[in-house]
Amino acid sequence: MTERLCVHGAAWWTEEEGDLRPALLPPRLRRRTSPLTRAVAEVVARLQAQTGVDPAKVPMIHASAMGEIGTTLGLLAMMQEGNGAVSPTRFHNSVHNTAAGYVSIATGNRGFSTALAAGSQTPAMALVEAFSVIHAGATEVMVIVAEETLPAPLLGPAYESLAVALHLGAAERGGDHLHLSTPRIRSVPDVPALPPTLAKNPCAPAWALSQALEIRRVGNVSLEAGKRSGERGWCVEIAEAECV
Amino acid sequence: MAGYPITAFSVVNGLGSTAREVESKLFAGISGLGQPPFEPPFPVTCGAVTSDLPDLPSRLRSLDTRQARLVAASLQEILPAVIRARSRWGGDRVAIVVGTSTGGIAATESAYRTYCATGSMPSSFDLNRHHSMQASVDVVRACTELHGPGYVVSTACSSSGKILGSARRLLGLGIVDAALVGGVDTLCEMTIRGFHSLEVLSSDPCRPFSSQRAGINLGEGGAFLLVEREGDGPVSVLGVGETSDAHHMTAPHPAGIGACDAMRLALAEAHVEPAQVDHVNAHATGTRLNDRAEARAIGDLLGAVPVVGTKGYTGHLLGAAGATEAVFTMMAITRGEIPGSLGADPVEPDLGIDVVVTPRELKTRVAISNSFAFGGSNVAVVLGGPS
Repeated sequence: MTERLCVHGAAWWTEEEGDLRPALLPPRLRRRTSPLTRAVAEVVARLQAQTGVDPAKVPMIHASAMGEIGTTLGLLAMMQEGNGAVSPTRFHNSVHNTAAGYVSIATGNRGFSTALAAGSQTPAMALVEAFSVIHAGATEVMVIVAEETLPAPLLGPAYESLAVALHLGAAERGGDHLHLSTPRIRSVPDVPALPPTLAKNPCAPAWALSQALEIRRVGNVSLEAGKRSGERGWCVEIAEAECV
Repeated sequence: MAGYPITAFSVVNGLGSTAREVESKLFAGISGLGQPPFEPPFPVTCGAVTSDLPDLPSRLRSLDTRQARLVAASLQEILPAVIRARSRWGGDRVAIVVGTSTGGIAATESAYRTYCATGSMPSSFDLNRHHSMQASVDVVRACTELHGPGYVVSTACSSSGKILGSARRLLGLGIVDAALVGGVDTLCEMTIRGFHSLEVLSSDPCRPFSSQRAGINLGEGGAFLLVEREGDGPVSVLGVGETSDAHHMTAPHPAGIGACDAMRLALAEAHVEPAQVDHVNAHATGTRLNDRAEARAIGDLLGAVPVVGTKGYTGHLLGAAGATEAVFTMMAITRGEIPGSLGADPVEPDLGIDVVVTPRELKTRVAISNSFAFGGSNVAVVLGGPS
């Protein structure tokens, strides 16, 4: 069992930063993309700048609970108008792996890429898959968890969009300070309250993890949205690297 | 041979509601194509599940959608094996990984129509319980009482090939001792209109690898496989290769490089040489582009290997295609017989592969099942029978 992964870096974006024009996507590709896909491309680029990860080579695990929900609603609206014809671009941009596809095309990454969904456990399962990819032989992996705000009129909780990217590896590199343990179900610890704009986002635990890594706060972090302190849920432990 | 045994499987689609019925029609060359279960916006041929889908048990009624009922129906025949595995390994040591591209979108379509007519979404509609991808996992969890990690892989048409990669990796990691993996997709207006807008939908039965092929038919169905750390099963998952084309969101790379790499990686993981592959269950959607690129990829790597395309029986099951065709490949391995590629005749000349048109007796020790998807997502699964 791969017991821990080294944290090479973490990057994030939240909606309060405003709209994005990520340079990772050339204009020809970028203009067809949703805010969600642009947020994913942005955090991939930020992580590259931070750790030097090569997005053309690193295996990528994309995860989102609702995926391209804005584009999907747009399609539903098109189907109710006129003769109900839909835009072919919008259709292929509604698949859950849209961001994964655009990032791979933009970077030329022909390697492993996947797109997961697991509701409130999305951040947890993304990390489980990441551990499994490293255990299977990869030396590094990028985990990108992203969730966009729900469009009206869907009846759902109100939250703002976020995207988080983690660069994790099997072995320490110079500058690594932290490890993550294999995700486990355990008693959820006390956690700092989330900002109200993100509190109901099913992927908020990924953002919380990025913030804990940023300030090097060791200990358990909940990876499952909506869990309260003391309840059992998926967690990951942040520990200090043994050799800095 | 090494690999993880597949100790049980189940399958429901346009061919039938039991594995026996599906297998019988597959190898008799009987099509499961017909009309969708709703009035389509224009003439289509689909692989609809025509049998009644049983109502969900009352404790699952809050999850009720056609997708949920198809998930539950698709699980029926594998449940005894799952219960056995749960007892053997512990409920928290069995993972659930489901491939789906549609999820509950058909229910969302219906709810949105109500919104347009009345100004409100129906109060009975719940985003998490009806629309979300995870709802399909929730149905599996409720039917099986498994407590291990559970998630959806949603990479369009490669989804339920990739779940076999996840199964291998989760077992390799040691976080579970078994994985109940599968794929379920339901017919809906969005995919019918969407593929039509891309001009790849054929209103007639699809013709994989045929010189007369004119596009895809959509289908619906579900298939599940139980992969265990050890156990009895005539077929094992030997290797899975997953790559990206990095080329275009919908068109495959014309040289089939990504597809070829997926097969090559899967064979390397399986410790199998290309010459040892006895047959390939191709993705073979019936589009001009896919079938030509795929034939090139298969031919370049494996030469004139026997290749079968089975979408002429079921249509393209999208997120359920990978798991369904893995089951078809398992059936071919255990029967010592490859089904015919329904609709392939006349086969396009000069493809460089041996397209199996009518059922052929062939002992298969090693087979590959391919699935390729939007976003350039490729997966190849190597399955092995007894030596």
